[in-house]
Amino acid sequence: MDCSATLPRHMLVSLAGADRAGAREGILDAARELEQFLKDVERRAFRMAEIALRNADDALDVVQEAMIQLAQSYGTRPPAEWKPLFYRILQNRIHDWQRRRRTRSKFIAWWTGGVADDDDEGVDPIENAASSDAGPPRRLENAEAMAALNTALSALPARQQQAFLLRTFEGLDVAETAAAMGCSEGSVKTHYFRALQALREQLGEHWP
Amino acid sequence: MNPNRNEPAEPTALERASRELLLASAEALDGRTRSRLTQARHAALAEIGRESARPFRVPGRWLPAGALAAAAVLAVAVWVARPVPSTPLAEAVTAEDAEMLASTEGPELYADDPDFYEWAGSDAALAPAAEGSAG
Repeated sequence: MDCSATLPRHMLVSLAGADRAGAREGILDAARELEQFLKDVERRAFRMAEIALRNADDALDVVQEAMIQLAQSYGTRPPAEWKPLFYRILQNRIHDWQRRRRTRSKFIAWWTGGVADDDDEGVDPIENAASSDAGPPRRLENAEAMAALNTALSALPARQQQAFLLRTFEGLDVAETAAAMGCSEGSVKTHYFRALQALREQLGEHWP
Repeated sequence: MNPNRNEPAEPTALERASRELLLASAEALDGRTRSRLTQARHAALAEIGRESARPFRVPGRWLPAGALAAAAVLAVAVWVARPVPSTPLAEAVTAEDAEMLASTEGPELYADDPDFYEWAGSDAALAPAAEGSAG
């Protein structure tokens, strides 16, 4: 598949300025493969970030940062390594974002004399579930099931949420999930198992 | 799911339904979000082009320190290599003094009025003053 038509102009200019034809070809190949990879994962990555952060704009920023860091640091690595690396970067960014948000909330609470504007506590998960009006009209049952799932996923502890989304949504195996989460395979299995239990309790046996 | 096994034999109904719904929600993103994701992807691809075109990489956090060190080295080099201050007046005075010291002739002012200087050096020039101070 020829992706050069969709590459940014300044990148093509820098490619044209490369001295060696081999190097130029290598850059172009890497760019094509990276573009294909990012195209493949970007929507799922966005949804994961949106569920974790409960905010679409924050999620877009986090996904963009993860994409750029992957290209900068690992763009020339074998494409087979990209997926766990990308999700590792994404999870770290989400974690940083949540930590900054908590710090900001604590400062605001201190500054305003205890009236906390905490995004993580006292939040109504239904109100903050991903908007269902984003896409084209869907069947009511699906919309309700999705809203319930969003609520249940948002209520999960961060590690359980990560394990569930990486395994079920992204389809990573246990080893890849462990690499993405920066933990052992045993921890992944434990987090995933607990996530499934919690979701069953939240959603009920007959969901959806 | 049994956590002690590497892979579940079959995804449960909850896993299957969750995956289908999440994939559907990812496919149904609105135009604005899709556009932002495309922009983000292009920004990332631009980085790989830029990184590869550079002959070497300098970590961004070292740039300010590097610039400061380079400025300090330049300032020291300019200070050490500066020319010694030398004004035209100083050079002229020095040359005139050297010429006067090297000359075997007396100062030219004697040639202007030799009688006056002869009188000034005689006792007659000193006499009125001595008389005045005595009287």
